[in-house]
Amino acid sequence: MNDPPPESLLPLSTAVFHILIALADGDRHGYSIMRETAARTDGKVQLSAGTLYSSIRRMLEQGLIEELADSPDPTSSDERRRYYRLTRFGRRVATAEVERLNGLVKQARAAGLVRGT
Amino acid sequence: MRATAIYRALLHCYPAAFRHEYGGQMLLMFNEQLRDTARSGSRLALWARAIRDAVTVAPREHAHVIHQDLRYAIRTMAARLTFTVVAILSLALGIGANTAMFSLWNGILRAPLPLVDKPQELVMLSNPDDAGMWTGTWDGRTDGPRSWLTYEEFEQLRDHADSFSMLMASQSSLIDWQVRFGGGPWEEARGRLVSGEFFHVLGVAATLGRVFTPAEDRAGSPSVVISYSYWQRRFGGRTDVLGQTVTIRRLPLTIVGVTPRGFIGETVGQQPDLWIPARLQPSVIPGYVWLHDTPPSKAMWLHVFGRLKPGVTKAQAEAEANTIFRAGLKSFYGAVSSERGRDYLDQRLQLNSGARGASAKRNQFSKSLTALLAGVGVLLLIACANLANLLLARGTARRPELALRLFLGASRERVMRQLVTESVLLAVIGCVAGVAVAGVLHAALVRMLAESDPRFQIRFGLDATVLAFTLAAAFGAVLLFGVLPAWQVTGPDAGASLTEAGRSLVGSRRQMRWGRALVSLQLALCFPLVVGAGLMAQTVYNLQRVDLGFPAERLLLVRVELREAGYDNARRVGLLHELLAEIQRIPGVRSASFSQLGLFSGGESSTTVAVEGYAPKGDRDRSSGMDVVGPAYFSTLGIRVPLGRAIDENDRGDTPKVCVIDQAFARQFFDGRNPIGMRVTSVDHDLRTDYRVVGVARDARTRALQGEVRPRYFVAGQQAPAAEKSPTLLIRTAGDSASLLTTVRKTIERVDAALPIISARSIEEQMAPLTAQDRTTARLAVVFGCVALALAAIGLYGVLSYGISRRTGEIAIRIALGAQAWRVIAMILGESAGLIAAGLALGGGLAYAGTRLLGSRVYGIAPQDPPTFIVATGLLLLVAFSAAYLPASRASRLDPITSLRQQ
Repeated sequence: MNDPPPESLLPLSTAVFHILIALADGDRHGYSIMRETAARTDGKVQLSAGTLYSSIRRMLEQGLIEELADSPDPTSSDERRRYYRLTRFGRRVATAEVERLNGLVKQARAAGLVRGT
Repeated sequence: MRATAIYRALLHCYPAAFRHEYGGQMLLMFNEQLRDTARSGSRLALWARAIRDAVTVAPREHAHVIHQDLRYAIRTMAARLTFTVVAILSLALGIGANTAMFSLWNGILRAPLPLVDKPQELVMLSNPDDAGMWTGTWDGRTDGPRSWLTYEEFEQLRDHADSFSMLMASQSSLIDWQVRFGGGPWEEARGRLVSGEFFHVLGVAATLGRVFTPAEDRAGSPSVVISYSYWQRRFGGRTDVLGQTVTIRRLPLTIVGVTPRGFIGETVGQQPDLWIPARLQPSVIPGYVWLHDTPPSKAMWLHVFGRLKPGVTKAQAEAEANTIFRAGLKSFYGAVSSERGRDYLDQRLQLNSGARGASAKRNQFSKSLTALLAGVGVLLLIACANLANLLLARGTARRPELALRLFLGASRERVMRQLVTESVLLAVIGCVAGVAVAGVLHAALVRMLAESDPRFQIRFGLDATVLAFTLAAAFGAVLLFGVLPAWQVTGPDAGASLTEAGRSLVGSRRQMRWGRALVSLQLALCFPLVVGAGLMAQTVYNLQRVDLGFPAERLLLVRVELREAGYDNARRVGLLHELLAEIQRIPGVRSASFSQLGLFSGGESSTTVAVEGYAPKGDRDRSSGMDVVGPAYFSTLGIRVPLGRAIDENDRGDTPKVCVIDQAFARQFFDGRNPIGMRVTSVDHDLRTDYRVVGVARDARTRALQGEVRPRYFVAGQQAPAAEKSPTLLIRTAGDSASLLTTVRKTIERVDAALPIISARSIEEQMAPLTAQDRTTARLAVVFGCVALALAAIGLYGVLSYGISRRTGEIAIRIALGAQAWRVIAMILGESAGLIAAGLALGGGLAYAGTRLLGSRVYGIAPQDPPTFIVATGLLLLVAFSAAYLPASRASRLDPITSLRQQ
């Protein structure tokens, strides 16, 4: 598979990055991604349905995530839910974004912008 | 569950594809959020987010789909370059020709006066569609609405009508004046007389200097305003033009202002060089009384424009104007017996809209223009048929691909959206290219019109109306012919195409049938255009070759003004004699004479005659044209006098009065009797003058190219009653006549430097306006006929190329099996023959019906002229088979191995 270099997709939008983080520790469906993001950010980031699925549509096209054919949770009563999983390329892109941000933080720190160091 | 329904409705803001894919999930999520908020509250925030999504995310998704479709469309179009180029070319030609033609049509027939302030509020008290002048005496009368007004009538209205905030008058005809700057040579300039309020009523200010004021009407100050184009042309746009002196006749006028660029005044299609205060009429058009109604004559020569006071209705204004007008008529015709007076008083003014200005051309051109517009409309139809055909053919070719997409779950809506995007992209490109084509055509049209009629000028512009027309035409075409094929190829049985895998011919039969029908239709539509162009071309040819009864070449016409120069009837004979003698001495002049009426001057003198031995049956039976001519008139023009003799030098004032009649006169009044020696009496009120007929001349056309030659008799200059009109000198030259013009002018100046030359031109120049309109129409018809042929050829070529590319396999097998090249060509041409024949048959019928529209415009040829139809058929056959031959010959050169492998 010919994935583009991960850097070509950077920087990621807030929504996309949050979705990548939410999917990093396991497969999730849309509502689960939304709730996980809200919980992780203390309710500061509230992904709306439109933003969420618009991002998912784009991420699917870019190959960052994939849709699962079967529900990973056999106990789930709702079969209509669609589950998404981070692809290997998606993980590489997320890592690249983290490195990019790290680099930025380092530069900010060197410039004395970061408190407590 | 109402919330769910509302959210579901909200989802319709998203593109269908997105909705189909994620709508369910979003709804699911929304319901869960609803449930959650039932516990924690804050439903409002939930709705706010949903609505914000609908207005921010949904458009982004749409843009994404459009972007995708466009990229796909561009890829598809680039991959099928022939198709794309042919489609865009068809559209560009069709739209371009229509835009150009519509702009012309709109400019002449519909557009308001350029640069005039609030043209919709302008009203006219004269007839907008008439130009010219009329001098009526006690004997003349006009019934019903007046075409033009006299200066006194205008003054009465201007001074007494309270319904109008302003009124102005302008000369209804444009005059060619001989003007000179400083001591320079005489040159021609066009102008018209206008009243002082002219520019104020039109709401136009000067670009340089000033325009006229009402003071011009009182003082009659010798000032002149010039047009922007004249300023540029004659003075190179120099600002020191103000204050310069222009001399007209003997009156020096001062240039006081320049009008804005593009301003033409109140008459559409005419661009005056000069505007002169009407008060100066006696000085610039000497010898005529136009400023006063002096019994028994009234000179009607003015258009009257005005603006209504606020709150005054048109009906009120018309009623008031008529009250004043009738009072004027009563006092003027008061001296006439009450019985006849009633006839004269049966006149009234009609209040017309002045928004579109006056136009002499409007009525005259409107039929041909509308016919031409219909012609280019047909052109657009042909272009549309091309497009439809190509889209159908392409749709057919793409059927398997589309079927696959539909099969894989793409909605019909999604696939159609894709196809329509491609069509719209074509429309946009076609539109841009069409406007470019229109620009080029505009320029060509302007040149064409200016060439065939130098008096006629009109500016072209892509104004809002024209642009709206273009866009409507383009998008109408594409929607009609892009959406229909899209609908058809995505139809319910589209899935079946998948099984055919696009190889077999069966699936595309129906589309091919459609395509062939469209090509036939195109050829059919071409036919009337080609026939029309042929008929008009022959009409012009015939008009230029009308047998005038004398050769219309190497002939100069010079009109001089004798009365103004102070020549009374007795002295004019001597002067004319001297002028002719001097002119005849010029090397290169073969002979010279004069005529009071001139040739094709637009004038005719109708006189009442009593003819010996003829009993008139009515008034019309007693009228005949009359011309006063010099010796050698007939020999100079070259009109034969088969019976008797011509008028010569021996017909003097002291010899018996004689006349020569033309054959039309002889037919009308003598009807087989020998006219020689018979008496013809001219009756002018109480004045009766007897002439003896000494000769019968061949009928000559000196007035109009068409219609019957009317009876006319000719009398010698020395034996004629007092002449009012300025005579025209007729000068026959040995070689090119135009080169002698300067010498002739100098000779006249030598004889009498004060003698005004009103006009000097060759017979060709004099006659040009007579055929101008037909020539323009013919040229346009020929141009559009050619474009139609080109479009049809492009269409045929495109469809056959496509058809053949679909049959590559079959043709390759034939060649592999030993079919020779000519057999392949013959097979394809043979298949085209059917549709070409069908198109021609239908087209012949259309053309036959269409020629009725031309009926009256055609001259010297039957509208259903068989040779024209045969030539048109031949031409269409030639073009059609040439267009078919190219793809056929390409098919015959197929390499069977490669082609079959590709399949």
